[in-house]
Amino acid sequence: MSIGIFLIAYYIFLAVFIVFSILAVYHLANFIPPSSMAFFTTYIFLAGVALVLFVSWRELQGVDWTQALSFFSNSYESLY
Amino acid sequence: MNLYIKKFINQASYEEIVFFLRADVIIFLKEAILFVALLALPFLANYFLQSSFPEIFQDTIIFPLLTLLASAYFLTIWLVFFLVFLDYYLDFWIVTNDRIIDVSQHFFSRTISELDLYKIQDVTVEMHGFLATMFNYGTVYIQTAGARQRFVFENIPEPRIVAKKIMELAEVDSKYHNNGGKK
Repeated sequence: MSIGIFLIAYYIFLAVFIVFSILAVYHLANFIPPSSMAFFTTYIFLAGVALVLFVSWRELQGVDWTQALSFFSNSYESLY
Repeated sequence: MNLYIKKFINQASYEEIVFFLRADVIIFLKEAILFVALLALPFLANYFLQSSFPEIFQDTIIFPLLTLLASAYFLTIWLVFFLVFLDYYLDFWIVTNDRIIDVSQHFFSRTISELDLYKIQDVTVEMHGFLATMFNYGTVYIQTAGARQRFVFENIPEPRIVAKKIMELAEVDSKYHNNGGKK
């Protein structure tokens, strides 16, 4: 098994997150009129999401997702 | 916004909006402080790990795992905070010279209730705690003779003024209804 399994789990989380985000934004758009407040909060929310995704992507650049998941031996070697 | 409210409550020609109420902003600030504390947690953990176990950040398995976990954590906290904001912002009460409209927001659901002012029997104000006294917010309970027996304005600013005004409006509306709709 490769560490790509972490990425798959993360993608599943992202799918659930996107569904809830769309529902939340839809809820906001549906229940208040198009106003500066609605646009501002939606913008801030989406900007925050973009920032987190960008930082995660930048940090994970260069990771070899095909390497084998040998959790204990690997951490043992690197820690000691 | 005013036009939206008029349309939203289907405002009659004789009807005037007296109050548009939302929970005091201090209530939202309390949630925001909790949110900032939750945001700070991964940074504290990062600082602790950097100083105690710096090898973890060189590990080709643990580092990606921690990064993905941190990313998921931040996204979850951010979404929850957004939902908490929606809950605060979309929960409001409108008091007119004829009725009270209660709009209650829960995650992905909404309840709208109405009460005619002349059905009000009693109005009670409750202010609990140091913050409520300091920032002058509290809860107003409206006892009614209608189908829904109690309306609650939770943590609104200046609850005493609101309660007094509602009692006055209820009295006027009650006289109007007792006179068969004549002023």
